[in-house]
Amino acid sequence: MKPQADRELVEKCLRGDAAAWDALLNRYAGLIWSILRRCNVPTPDAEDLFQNVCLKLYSQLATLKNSEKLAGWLAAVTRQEAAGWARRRRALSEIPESLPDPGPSPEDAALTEERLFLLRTALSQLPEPCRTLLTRLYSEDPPGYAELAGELKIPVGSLGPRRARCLERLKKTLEN
Amino acid sequence: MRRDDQNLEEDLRAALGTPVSSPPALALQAARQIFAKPKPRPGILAALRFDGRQGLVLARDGSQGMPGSSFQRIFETETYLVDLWEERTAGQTSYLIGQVYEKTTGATLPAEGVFLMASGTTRIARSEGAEWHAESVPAGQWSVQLWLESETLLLENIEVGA
Repeated sequence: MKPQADRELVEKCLRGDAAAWDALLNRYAGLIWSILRRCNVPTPDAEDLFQNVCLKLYSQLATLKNSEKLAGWLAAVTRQEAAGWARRRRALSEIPESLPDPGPSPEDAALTEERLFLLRTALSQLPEPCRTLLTRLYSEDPPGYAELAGELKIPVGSLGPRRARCLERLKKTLEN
Repeated sequence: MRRDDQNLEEDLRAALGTPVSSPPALALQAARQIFAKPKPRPGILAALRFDGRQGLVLARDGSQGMPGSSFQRIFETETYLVDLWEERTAGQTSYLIGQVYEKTTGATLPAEGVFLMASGTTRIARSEGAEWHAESVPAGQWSVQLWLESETLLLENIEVGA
């Protein structure tokens, strides 16, 4: 079943559909949380910031109903929360102005997480065998061509061209 | 989003090699309960009253703009005026500066957050007192979400770099 578009979920939320709110949270909680963690926000504070972002999403639903993509908006709001947290901590001298390895800036962290989130989402929308083929080939421990061809029950010689076609399909999915 | 093949493959490895983290169950449960709160407030759409490129003075308070490479737009709601300046910068981008005024008193109002949105992308403007600044905004159609203390203003169909 095709996942509901963000716009559809936002409209349902505005009509009072709690299930649509749950669906939005399920879709984007990982993105928000990943950005906070990538910004090295410790868990108790990250939970607070996570609530702040969700509250802002809720309070701004009516202004987002024409927004085509929520991911970018949520990444920006999360980035703002993380940057505010870092400023407050610095003001309290809990973290020094410059660390030996300060990690990624909230902006870079948000952009990276947003990009990976959109990529995972696009990958999950690919039909088979593309989804499995790309997931297996680009995993941390990819199988050899012969093994993968056996798994997918396709000729070994077709893997190269299929991989190219599936990557092209993935790019198109990302662009839509 | 356009990527070259090498970047796409590197991103795929990163996306598949990084476990997707999730917030603790209690945090997610608390976020679900937000839905029981009062309904979200509607955004207030601000109408364009003046566009310095067109030399039209439409603002009811008599504000005037200055046509040129930097130009002014004025948006209006029942309660507020939003002053938005655009200046072309190198590389087909623009620098935007905005400010919100309360119409009856003329007082400037700081925004809690200013988000510039185009299809698939959102930028955060930087606050400087009551002003907000956005640098290197690419040409295109943008909308601006201005979070005031008690309401949100929306400026739509802003053609940056046109």
